[in-house]
Amino acid sequence: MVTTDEKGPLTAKKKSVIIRSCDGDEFLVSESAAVLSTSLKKILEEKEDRLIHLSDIDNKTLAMVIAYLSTHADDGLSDDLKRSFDQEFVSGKEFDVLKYLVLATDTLQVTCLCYTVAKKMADIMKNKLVEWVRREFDIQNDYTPEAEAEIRRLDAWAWDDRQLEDD
Amino acid sequence: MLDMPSEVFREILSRVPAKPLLRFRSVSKSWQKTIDDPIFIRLHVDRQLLKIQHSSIDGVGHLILRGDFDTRFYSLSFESLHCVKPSLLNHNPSYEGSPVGSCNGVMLISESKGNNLLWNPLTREFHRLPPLKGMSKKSRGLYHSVSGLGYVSATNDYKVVKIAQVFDPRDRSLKSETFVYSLKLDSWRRIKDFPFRISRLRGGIFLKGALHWISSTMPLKSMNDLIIGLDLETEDYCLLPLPTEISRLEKPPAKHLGVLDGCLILSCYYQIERLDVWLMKDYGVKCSWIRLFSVSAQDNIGAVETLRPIAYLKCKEEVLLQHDKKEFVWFNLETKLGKKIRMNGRPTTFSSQFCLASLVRLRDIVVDGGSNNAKRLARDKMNSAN
Repeated sequence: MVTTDEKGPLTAKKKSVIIRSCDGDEFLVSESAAVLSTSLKKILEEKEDRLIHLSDIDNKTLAMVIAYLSTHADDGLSDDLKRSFDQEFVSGKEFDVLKYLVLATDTLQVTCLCYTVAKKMADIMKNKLVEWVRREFDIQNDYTPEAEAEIRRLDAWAWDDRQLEDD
Repeated sequence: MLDMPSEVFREILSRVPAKPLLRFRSVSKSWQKTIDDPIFIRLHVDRQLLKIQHSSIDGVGHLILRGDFDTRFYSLSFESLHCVKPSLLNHNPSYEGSPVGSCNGVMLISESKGNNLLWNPLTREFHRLPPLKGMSKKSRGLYHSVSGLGYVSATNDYKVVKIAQVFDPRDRSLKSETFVYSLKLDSWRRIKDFPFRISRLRGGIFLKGALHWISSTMPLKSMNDLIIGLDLETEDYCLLPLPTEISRLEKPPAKHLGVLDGCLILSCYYQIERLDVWLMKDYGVKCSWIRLFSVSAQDNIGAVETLRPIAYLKCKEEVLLQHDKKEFVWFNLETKLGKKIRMNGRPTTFSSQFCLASLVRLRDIVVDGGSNNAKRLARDKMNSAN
C-alpha cells in the first residue's frame, strides 16, 4: 500500500522517499519532510536507497509522525500555524498513543516533537495516582509495604489525594 | 512492557511539576533513584524556569506568605486563579524570620538577630547558615544591611550576600562591608565592598546570575538612583541603565526592583497618584526598557503605593498584584480592570514571596556533606550545655 502524504502530492517534482513501518505499510514522504528527522537524514545521506524500513515503529504511529514532519516542512505555513498544529496534534490523544509516539520520536530523532509529546504526557501525569502511573508504565512495585509507607509518610503533605485521578 | 530509554523518560519526568514528582518517588525504587538524582533535579529546575518564561505558572511555583502578626508560613498555589485558599505549612523552620529572597525553590529567611537560613518549603529541608562575624550594629552612625540569595550555575552553588553599612551623618563617612556565603563551602568570606550607598532595606533581586539592588550614589552628593548588579560567579559589580524617561523627566520618589516574566522590572511610585511598571526586555540594554503598564488612583484598583507586581500572565495580558499586604488582584492590562482573588483563611496582613516548586536538596550542594554544619551543631550543643 502506498499512501501519499497530504502536503506533498506526487504531482510535485520534489524528491520523495518511501518509509515502511514494522507492519509493512508504506508511506511516500517528501525528502524535505523526511530530513527533519535526524536519523532519516543520516540514512538518506549514506545510501541512495529510496526505501527506508523501520523495524520498530507501527503504521499508526508512523502516520502521525509523518503528518507532523510534513506540516513542519511546509514553507507556506507560518510559525504560529505550526504552533497551533502542535497543540492540536497532541490534544485528546490517549496516554498509550503518546507513549509509542514519544518512543518513535526518539528512534527518528525528532527533538521538537519529542518535547511536545513529553510535555503533554507530563500534563496528564501530574494529577494521577501512583497506582495509575505503575499501570501505564507497566512497573512492578518493588518496595516492601513498610518501605512504601515510610516514603509516603516523609512527604505526607504532598499526598492530598482528593483531586487525583486514577483513569 | 515498553522499553523506555532513560533520556526519553527524563524528558517526560522533568516536565512534571515538583509536587507530583514527590509522590512519584514511591512508584518504584528506580523512579525514586531517577527523581532524587542531583543532575535530574537541575534539569527539572531549568524546565520549570522555562515554563515561567512561557507564562505558565500553574504548578510551577507558589507564593509563600508570612503573616505580620503570625509566626506561621502559608503556601498559595495558582491552580485556581480566582478563588484560592492559602494552606498552612505544618512545617516551620523559623518562628521569627522573614523571607528575604528566593531562587530555584530555595528561600532565604533572615531572623532578627542576623541569623539566616535556607529553606526549601516543598521538601521542607532547611539549612542554618553559620553566624556572620561582621560589622556590629553598635558602630556609631546609621546602620543598614541588605541581603540576597542567588545561584551560580557554573559551580552549582547557592550564594547569600550580605551588605552592611554604617553612615555617620556628622562627618558623612561611610563604612561598608560585604560578605558572601557559599552553600557549597558552608562558610562566609568578605568580598569587594559594595561601591554605593544602600538606602532601602530590600532583598536583592536575582536574575541572569547576578543579584540586583537599587541604590543611590555615594556619598549623598546627588541623589541619582542606580541599579547595581553583583555577578555571583565573578563577584564583580556592574551598573545597569535606568529607563531614559524616568531619569530625565519626573523622578519617582520611590522605586522598587522585581522580576516578571524572566525580566528585570522597576516599579516607580509617584506617591498615592500613580504606579508605573517598567520592564527591561533585553537584560542590560537601556533602549529595551518598556513601560509595561501604569495604574493610577482613578483606576480603583486600590492604594497604588501598596501595589506590588507578582506575576505576569502574558497570554491573558494579566498581571497579578499584591495589594496592601492583604489581598491579590488580577489586573488586566488592556481593560485596566482588576479582579480580586477571594482568599479564605489568610493571615490579616502578610508579606509574600514567589518561590519555584523544586526538589533542590541543600545537603547535596554542600561539598563535604555538611560536616561543618554537623561540627557546628555539636559545638552549639556543647555551648548551650555549659
